[in-house]
This record gives sequence, C-alpha cells and structure tokens, in this order.
Amino acid sequence: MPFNSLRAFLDKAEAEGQLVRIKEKVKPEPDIRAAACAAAKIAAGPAILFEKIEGYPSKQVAMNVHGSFQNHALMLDLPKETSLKEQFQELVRRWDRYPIPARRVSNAPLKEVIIDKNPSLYKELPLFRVNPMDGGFYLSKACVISRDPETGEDQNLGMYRMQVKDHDRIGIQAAAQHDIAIHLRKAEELDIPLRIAIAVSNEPVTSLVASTPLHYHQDEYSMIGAIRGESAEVISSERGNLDLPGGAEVVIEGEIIPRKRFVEGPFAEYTGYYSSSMIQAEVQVDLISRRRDPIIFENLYSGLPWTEIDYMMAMSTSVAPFKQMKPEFPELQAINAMYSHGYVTIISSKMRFGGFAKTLALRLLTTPHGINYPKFIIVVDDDIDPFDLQQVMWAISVRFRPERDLVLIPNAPGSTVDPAHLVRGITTKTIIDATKPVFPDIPLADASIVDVPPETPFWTEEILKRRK
Amino acid sequence: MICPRCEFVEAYKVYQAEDKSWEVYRCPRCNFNWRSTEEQELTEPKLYNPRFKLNEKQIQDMAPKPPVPPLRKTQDPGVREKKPPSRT
Repeated sequence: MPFNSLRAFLDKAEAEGQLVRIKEKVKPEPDIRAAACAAAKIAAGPAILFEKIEGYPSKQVAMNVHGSFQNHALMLDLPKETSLKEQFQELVRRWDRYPIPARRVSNAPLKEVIIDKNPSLYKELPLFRVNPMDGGFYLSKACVISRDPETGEDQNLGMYRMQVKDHDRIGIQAAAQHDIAIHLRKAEELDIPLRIAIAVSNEPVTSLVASTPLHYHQDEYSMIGAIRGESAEVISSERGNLDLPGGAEVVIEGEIIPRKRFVEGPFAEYTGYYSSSMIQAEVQVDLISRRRDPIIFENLYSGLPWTEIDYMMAMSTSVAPFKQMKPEFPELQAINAMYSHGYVTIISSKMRFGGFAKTLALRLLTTPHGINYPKFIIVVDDDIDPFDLQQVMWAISVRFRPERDLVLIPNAPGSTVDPAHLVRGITTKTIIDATKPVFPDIPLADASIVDVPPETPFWTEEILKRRK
Repeated sequence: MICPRCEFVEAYKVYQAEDKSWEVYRCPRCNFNWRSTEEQELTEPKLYNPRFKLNEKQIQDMAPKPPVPPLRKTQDPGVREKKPPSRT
C-alpha cells in the first residue's frame, strides 16, 4: 500500500527496523546535523526522529528518511533488501503508468491550523543550521509548487534549497536550468510576483518526484501517482491556484518578489563543498498552514558524500534520462547516474554499430538533466551492470582505447555548484567509450572473452551452504 | 549587536525560544542568522572563519542567480515585426 504521509512511512520504517527515535532532548546545533550525518554513513542507515528539541517543546524533526537504499526500497513498497538494479528496473516499469492524475480532497491535516496574520517561520518550524558555515537555517527538503504565470498551466513541483532569513522571508535558489526558473523569468519579464507554495515534510515519493528531472510539460503529481500506483492526494492552496500535497505537515504560502535579488548562502551542497554566497530570489511569506502540534519537520543533511541526498536522488537522476532516451534507443539497458547528481554517469547499452557509444553519450547531454549535470560519461556494453563498479572499471581497463574513445567537449553547460568550475556554469564534457568496438570499427586485437565456467552457480551454492 | 559574518552593527534579536533557552539574531545586510547557543566560531565576529566573512564590496559585486531578465516590451498585436532586409 502506498503511504499517504510522512508519518505513515515512518511507521513502516520503524516496523522494519529502519527508524531510530531519539527521545532525549537534543540541541538544534550541532546534534541534529551530526546524527543525520552519522545515520547516512551507517550501513542500511535508518531514518532518525528527534522527539525533543531544546527551545521547541512542541516540535519534532525527521532526518535521513531517504538515507539508505533499504529506505528507498521501503518507500517503493519493496522488500528492503531489493538490489539497486531491481529498484531501477521497478521504477522504469512504474514510470510507464504515467499519467495517474491526482485526486483532489477537501480536507487534510495540513489545514488544521491556518496562520494568515504575521506568520513566523522561526515560531512554526524547529529550524537548525544544517552545516556550520551555512548562511542561515535552511529548508533543504521542501517541495515548491508554482505555475506558469502567463498561462496558469504547467504546474511544477520541485525541490530547491531555501534559506530562512526573517520571520516571513525565505531565499530560494531558482537555478536557470530548473523549471521554476522558467516561471520566475516570465513573471519578472512581466514585473509581477510569482505565487508559490512550499510543502514541508511530505510522503517520500513526493520528495523523490520533486527531485526528478521531468520534462517541463510533465505533471509531477501524475508521476507521483504512477510511481505509487495510486493517485496522489492534493488539496487547494489558501491563496492563488496551487495544488498542495495532501500529506504535508506544513505549507508556507507566499510570492517571489519580482526583479530583486538578496544575499543568500553559502550552503553545503551535495558536492561536499560549500557553494559561495550570491544574490538570489526571495519569497515574501503571507500564510502558513499546518497540522496541530506536535508537527514533524523533515529536513535533509547534505555534506561530504554519501549523505541522504545521494540516496534520494540516485535513482531519479538515473531513471529519468533512461526513460527519455529509451524510445529512440531501444538498445539501452540501464543508466547509473548516482554520483553527485550524475556528474559521473554510466550508460549500459547494446551497440547498433561502431561509434554508437558516442551517439548515446551525446543524446544523454540533451536530456533535461543531462544538459548541465553530467561531465564524465562512461558508456559500457550490455554485458556490464552499470551499478557494479567492479564491472565498469573492468570495461574501462580492457575496452577503452584513449586515442579513439576519449572525447572532450569544452565550454559546455555545467552545474553551477560544481567546485571544479573555471567559469561558473561552464564545464568540459568528457566521454569515455568503454565498449567493445563493433563493425565497421576495428575489433579488439584479443577478442575472445573468457567464459565463466558453467558449473560456477552450482559451486556458489555449495560453498555458501558449507560456509553456514 | 554586531554580525559575526559581515560585522554590520545593526544586527538584532529576531526571535526567542518559547522556553527562553536561546535567541536568534539576524543581520539585515548579509542576511546571516545565528542562534545564541551555537559554537563561538559562529557567533563571535573575531572567531568567524575569515574565508566565509563578507564585506560591503563583496556584497555589491555578487552575481545574481538567476539573472534578472529585461522587461517585456508591450506589443501592439496589430503590428508585425519587420522582416530583416534582403541580402540580394
């Protein structure tokens, strides 16, 4: 059964041994960040629920909810030991159910308390500094809903870093490659505020899809339905015309101030580095609606990889380009874009003809996510599992011919938070073709691969039995 | 109150915990927020990591993300854009 709220998922995680409750009182800093960092680095890391926070007697904090592949599997209602490749293939199958449109409800717990006069983020959320040199208290896992201000269509649900700066002001990072930046650009061209809603503490598939690079015209709620196998529940915003995730604990409503930028950052990014301070867009908050206390504030720790964000985005950045490329390239087997949002991406495919690996790598670079994020693309044959790095390294070791198989594309679009940039937002795309050359290319000199002895599976079983 | 990061002197208390266990301060110039119970390296201007310090010039020189687009010109729907001159 899909989960309808963060609470429902936390119950499941607890039943599966994937939730740890911290019942003692903790300090907002440094306890929450340190425990969340630890949880993501423990094998099969659990979600953490802090039940008592100094200064916030009626609030709780949930961290590391997506922070292991075991929790990722539970989110998809799969056994927690489901392998990575199986989780990838399951998401690929569920993607085909798109669209399953959202179902509108008229009542949800997030409407229990509505604060429309002088809302205070400091009062309503148990805020804390995620990493010591961050410029403030961040909402690092909230989902932002907006619409095209010109047409009223193309509602978007996305996850962007947000810095609380005052009782009713939040900075938002609307990087140019993200859908919300299209809405913001149109609003600013017209010199009108962009109405948005920020949903905090959501059921986990909502966060997964919010951080998935869909096409601009695709509807995230219909994809949440497809992944869950059941319609997402939405409820109308108090102001404007936005659909809110029905399971959210807290929703912040407001508008992005047009044509103004304000100091934001730094923030410890998924790269494991602090991104520098810049001037960014800012939201004027005018309303907060929420559950009755005690609310659970879900936030995300990002720091030296791997942390929760790497687990949360591992599959979404892999499955999205795979589905976007597959119709034109049925030879594709799988894509592994798990490393720093796909800065390193591995494509596994059958080869149509010689040189085809380059075609695939170039096509990746025209998918919504591929335009900016990947800078190191490895293409392997279909006999290589891209999620098994031992196999990938073997393919590079024995099939890669640098004089023919290394391609550099300089001065190409890159991630704006890549610490290795020379010009922010510009990178060199690197393609490593680690596939066997096929006709009409020149074959490898020694082309006979050693077979695994056919009796190996029998002996694997025998050895494992005796080992017990 | 002095901002630990940019040393602007008009930082102020913006919130206090219900049980008075801490206060939050904010800087109206660089938007830095801090809690009174955080490490001294984050609350004391002299101890704040110099690599992360900000000053007025740095703030003035910051790049906007995303850039602010030009305002759209009001278009008269009756007037079509002129074709570029022919090369012949």
